[in-house]
Amino acid sequence: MEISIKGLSKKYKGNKYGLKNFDLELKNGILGLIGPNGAGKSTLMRILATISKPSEGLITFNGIDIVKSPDNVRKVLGYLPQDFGIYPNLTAVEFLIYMAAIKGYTGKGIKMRIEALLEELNLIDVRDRPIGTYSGGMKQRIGIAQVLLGDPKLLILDEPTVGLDPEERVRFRNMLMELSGERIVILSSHIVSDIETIANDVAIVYQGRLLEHNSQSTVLKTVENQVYETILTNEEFDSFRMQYTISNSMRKNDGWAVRFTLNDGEKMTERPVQPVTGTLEDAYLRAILSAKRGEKYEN
Amino acid sequence: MKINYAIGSIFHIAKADFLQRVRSYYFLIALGVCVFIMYTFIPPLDAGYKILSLGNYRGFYNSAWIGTMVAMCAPFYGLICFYLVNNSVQRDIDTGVGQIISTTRISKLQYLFGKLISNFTVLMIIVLLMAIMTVAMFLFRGETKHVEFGKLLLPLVIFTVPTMFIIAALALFFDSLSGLSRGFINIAFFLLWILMLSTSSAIDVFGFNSGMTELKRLVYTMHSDWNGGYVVGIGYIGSSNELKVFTLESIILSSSILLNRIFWMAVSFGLVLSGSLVFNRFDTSKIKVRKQRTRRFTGEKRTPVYNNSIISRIKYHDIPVAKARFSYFSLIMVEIKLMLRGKSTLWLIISSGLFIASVFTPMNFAYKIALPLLWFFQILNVSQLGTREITHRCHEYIFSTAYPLTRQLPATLAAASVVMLLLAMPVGLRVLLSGNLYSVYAISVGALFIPALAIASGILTGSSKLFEVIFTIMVYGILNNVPFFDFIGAIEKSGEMGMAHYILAITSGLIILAFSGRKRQITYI
Repeated sequence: MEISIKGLSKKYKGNKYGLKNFDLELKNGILGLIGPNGAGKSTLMRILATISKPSEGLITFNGIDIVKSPDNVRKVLGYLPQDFGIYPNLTAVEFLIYMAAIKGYTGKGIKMRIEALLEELNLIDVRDRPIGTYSGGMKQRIGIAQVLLGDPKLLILDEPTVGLDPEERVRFRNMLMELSGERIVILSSHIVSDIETIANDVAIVYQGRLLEHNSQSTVLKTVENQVYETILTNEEFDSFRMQYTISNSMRKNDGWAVRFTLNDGEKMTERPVQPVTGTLEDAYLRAILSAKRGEKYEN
Repeated sequence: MKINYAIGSIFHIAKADFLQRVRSYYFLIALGVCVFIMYTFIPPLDAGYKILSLGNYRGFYNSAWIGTMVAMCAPFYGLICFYLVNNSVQRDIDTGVGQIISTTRISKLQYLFGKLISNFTVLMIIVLLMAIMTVAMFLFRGETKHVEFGKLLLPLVIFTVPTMFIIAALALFFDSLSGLSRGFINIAFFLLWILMLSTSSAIDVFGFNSGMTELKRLVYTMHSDWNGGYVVGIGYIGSSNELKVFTLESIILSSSILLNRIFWMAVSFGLVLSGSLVFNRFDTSKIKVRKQRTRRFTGEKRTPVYNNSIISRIKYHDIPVAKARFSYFSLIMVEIKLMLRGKSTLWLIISSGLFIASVFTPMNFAYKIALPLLWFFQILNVSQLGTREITHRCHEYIFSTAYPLTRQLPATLAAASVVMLLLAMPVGLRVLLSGNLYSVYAISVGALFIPALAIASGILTGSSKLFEVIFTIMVYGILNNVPFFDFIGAIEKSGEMGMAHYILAITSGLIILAFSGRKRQITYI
């Protein structure tokens, strides 16, 4: 299975771009989409989910244009939007049977699958309660269940872990890893650690452009030997913040424990620092900051 | 300081609410409907129908008569105005803004007062448009070219402006009664509205009876041969050539009319004040949640997955995979379930009562009263059909399923039509047994027309209100023997006119509109 995106742009009124000249090639596995708010992640996902049309460009799924033949994708698609609702008067079982019927699944087989999904997503005890009485996390799990109804081959998940408690998040991540083998999973999240844990590939999006698309290990190499920790006094903190990309800071009795990234070719000589292993969050912040400074990605 | 804060708060509540309303697409449609109504309510002399007719007399189209005609009919479009402004509090609940407002210092009364000002201001824009249309229609259809602005527009000030204030206050009062469903409010107001319009009613809320009494007195004084008959609202009179002409020289005004208007405005304001006592200030914990249904399992008890401290693993590959097998029948069945789910016991009792009435009552009552009312009580089931995906924010994942246009939308239409047909079954069988095939045809067309209207108007306007208003007016029309609104073939005159054929043609147009609108929604969410 493969998705090919070439020269994709989405233009809104007032000559504003949600996406601009976007290229991406995807094969089976999990792609983590990260970027700041308004970067274009959801726009990209909605276009891939066939509910929004691009202004320019070509997107093919297994060689077939998804704009011209959207149902070709829809038949194998499981889509979880970022901000979704559920019919509140239906119970979990009724809602999933309704969604299954819309997706073209009826009969005993789908009922068994729904039961199993509810069990695995820990909703079996509330299966007969109206969804309107559910907590946010429970509704999110119902959303995930509807994604998985038809055993989809393409999963598009926009912020799927929102509202899930830590335990549910871990379970969900594990499940995604398990099912990703023979499928394409595109996942966006503001929680970079979610992406870091499960994504094979990472795409960093900023202002509608693709800054970086690579395997996670390659992206991490951009911050190899460039992430350090040090201790700063309160007085030093402000000026330091202006100079370096701080990815984490923690207040201590004697000042601040700071995690920061050096720019390319930069060396730290004026103070003792401790080298640490760079994370995806470090790489992401560095890429975004570079883009903001216009060092690498001119408009 | 405190007063400044109160005034400022009220002003900003009113301003925000007003801007939110007038910037909506629905408001534009409401203005369009108003223009259409004004055009219809001042008919040409040879139109075959009258809005205000006086038995063997008709009014001469001068300034006083046209102004009076528009003012006397104000209560009729008052229903539309109610539906236009009846969700100001509910919208703050839906958007979550209410939760923020409730944490500020603003009092319940200040909040409701701000909403009242907004409601009234919105309706005043409608009145302003009516005034412009009144002048325009006078120039277009008047029998004299001598415009007397005072006589033309003062009736609007005396009758319509207070009516709009009462409507604004009533809408807010209902809206402030936390816990009442919107459906219940709509139906309750409709029934109240019928009661208030009743000419025999002593409760002359709209000033309609006192106005008509004064008008009748004037006619009788001037024309002793007047037969005493009159119709307000769309009345089919055939040719008006045989009618004598009555010339109204001055506007209808008396101290009792003025007192009536002031009294009911005060009463309605009092209702808003009392509403502030029961308004829950967005405390959702006070809203009753539908009682949890408990269903007994027949199978073995399942053990929750989280039953130990170690995070268990979701075994995706152990979940049985279902084969794709699409079935329209299954989809229609689940659509019916979705339509009827979560309805109140009161709705069930009323619907059952009307259904039973349509079986056992005399045919005339069953067909002309019980069936239209039975269908009317489905208004909330049906009105959501074109909007529910977006209202409940399910549209993105529903529209991204395969073939949404040829599977889900037809199934929704079919499901609602099946429900309407099932409800009409007793009347349908009775007319079939009496050999009245036209009525069977008309009822079947009606059963398709109502969902088609709901879906098309919902998709095109993004709101269920337009359908609710049109459907309510049409039901009211049937109850009042107006053949133009008869979508079930219950009125003899409508049969002669072949209304069912027109309704079928309109239904076809609505279905085309619904599909093209949905196609656009799917492509450009």
